[in-house]
Amino acid sequence: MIDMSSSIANIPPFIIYFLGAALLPLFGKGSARKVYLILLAVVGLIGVAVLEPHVGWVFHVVLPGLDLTFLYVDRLSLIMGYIFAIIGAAAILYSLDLVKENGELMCGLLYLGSAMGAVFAGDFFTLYIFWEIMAFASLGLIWYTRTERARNAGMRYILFHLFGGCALLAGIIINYMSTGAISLVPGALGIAHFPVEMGIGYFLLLIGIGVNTAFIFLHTWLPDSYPKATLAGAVFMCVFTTKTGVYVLARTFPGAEALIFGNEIPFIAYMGGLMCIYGVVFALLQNDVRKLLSYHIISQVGYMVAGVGIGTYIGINGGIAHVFNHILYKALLFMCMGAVIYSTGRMNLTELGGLARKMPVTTITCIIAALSISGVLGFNGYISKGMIIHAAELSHMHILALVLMLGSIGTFLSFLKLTYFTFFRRNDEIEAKEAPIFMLIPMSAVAFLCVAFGVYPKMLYEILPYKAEALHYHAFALAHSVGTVELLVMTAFMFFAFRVLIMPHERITYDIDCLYRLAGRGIIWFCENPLMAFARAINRGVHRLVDSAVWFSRNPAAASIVLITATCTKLRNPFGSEDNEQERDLKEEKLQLVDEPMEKLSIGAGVLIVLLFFAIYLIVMFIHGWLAP
Amino acid sequence: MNYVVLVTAMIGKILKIVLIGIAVVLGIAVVLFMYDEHIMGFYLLFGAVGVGLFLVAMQILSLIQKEGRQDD
Repeated sequence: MIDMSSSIANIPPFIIYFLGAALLPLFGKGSARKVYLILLAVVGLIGVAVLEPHVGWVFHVVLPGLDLTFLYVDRLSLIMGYIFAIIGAAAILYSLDLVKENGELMCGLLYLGSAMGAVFAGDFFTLYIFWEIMAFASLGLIWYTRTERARNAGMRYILFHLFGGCALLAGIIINYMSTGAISLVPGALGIAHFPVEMGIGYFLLLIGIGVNTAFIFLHTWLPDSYPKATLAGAVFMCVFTTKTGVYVLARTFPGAEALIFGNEIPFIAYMGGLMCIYGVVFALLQNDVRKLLSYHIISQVGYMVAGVGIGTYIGINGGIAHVFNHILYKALLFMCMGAVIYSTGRMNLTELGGLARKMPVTTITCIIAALSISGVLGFNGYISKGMIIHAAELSHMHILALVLMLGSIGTFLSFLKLTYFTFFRRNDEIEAKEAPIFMLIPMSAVAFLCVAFGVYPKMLYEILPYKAEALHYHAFALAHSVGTVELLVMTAFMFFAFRVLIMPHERITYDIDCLYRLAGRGIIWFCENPLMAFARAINRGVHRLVDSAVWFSRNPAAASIVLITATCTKLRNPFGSEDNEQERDLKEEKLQLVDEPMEKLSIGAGVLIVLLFFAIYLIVMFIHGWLAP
Repeated sequence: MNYVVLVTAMIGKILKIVLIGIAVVLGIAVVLFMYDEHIMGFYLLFGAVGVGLFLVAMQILSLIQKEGRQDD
């Protein structure tokens, strides 16, 4: 039974996109499809804009306390819904001319819808359902590239996500069994009260969320798969999976601490710091533009994880603000690089250059996105990064604050590299023209938002989970502004001074996944050799046992005599093969046994044997009772 | 006539330099008096050290790189 006790305005947004995906094939591939998709994007935006804080669309299942809630709206889910709808609309517009196959668009819409379903889910089981749909829908966006590399990367991607999904489900069930908690609806307790009991359930939940959030050691699926997705698919993919992970992390593990060497350490916050640096260092080594951007997702998600891991109001605000801002500029960067690849057919920095005059709109929007992600004053990244670093300083995590600032330096360095080697380095060979208008419109709109939220951050503060605390934050405090400018000016100076060292090269970079692949090969070898040999030995043993049982059952009395004779022979001559004749006789007897008529006992003898067993059983029981204290 | 034009242009340049000088001095004074910890150059130093750290990290990681196209 479904309880839809809500106004008509409060419709779960996933329904809009799922329905949109289902109806898409009816519109063919012409201009009707374009009109339909534009309408769908607009309806999706309106559907989220009219949502009010509310709990509805509850599906009552048989088990008590296990209601599935498909619509839970609070400030945290709303801000996620807003940005998903905005960037979903931009990605749909971007796809209009670019995507030819309806299947790819359907995957994109299902992915968008399931991400919406996950952030508006009111309980963990509903969240899990959408979590898995997200994984399979996004797989389609990789496989639609239709190359061998994409197929392999997609397989690795789905294996990773199935592992994460299983861990999440196991964590949910174990945690439910120990705490009885399944609902994500916190009531008056704040946005994040979900009780997670320490133990295996806690660990599994963290792994499940960590796979989607790309925690280090669980991150390799991201730079492996995103560069191999379709051009439009990558724009969808860079938005939803990791950000949904951060959202669930904010619901379940804000400010989580673990006892390490006798001290309570906010390990999630430090994991964020590690992600921030790790992603940047590997991004600097990349030559493939989309791989560079993919590593930067890990780095930027590190800021979000750090903010959530700090766990204070300003920390969570900063983390969620960074989700919002990051989605804008990262989607813009993927759109810009998609436009570059679309126009030139090249994706490596070593092959690009000289596009600034040929693709001016793409160049300007890419520079805006690069300045935003680098946290330059006046762009949106500056606001949220500053908020997270400020939260770390307020919580006396000075090392974390320095690590996050170091991440800013690396980010600016690698985006100087990206923009310089893509657009400004001289390259007379390259031929390109500006991207189609349907690609440029969403790029320009998102670039405008990056600047708007950077110049007037109050718009963002108004929708953050803890609005009152956000409004007390002064983004443009002179100290912070001057410090940021100093940091970035020095980074730019150093880049141009040491440009030769940062030049892109055509090289293969090894990440942790090479260890996983080695381990995978080891597991395959182990399965094919020792494990299969063991299985064959067991198979042979079982066959022999069955054969013996069949042989014995054909004539038990004669078989018993043969067995007794064989045993006696063995006892008489345990080592030797002197009496070979006797052994040969026994073998012949064994073979003849089958043909001999079976000796039958009378019913009385059978009853006697049964009584004998019964008597032995009674005696044993009697002795057991007698010996027992 | 030419002399007058030259003198006027020179005065204009001098005025520009004086105005930029005043702006720079005022800017430094503001930063110095209000946020003296930042004029000490911490962030400049941190920026230089940070870039140096990344360059070193890149050089170290390049040891485990292999020549060839970035692929599977």
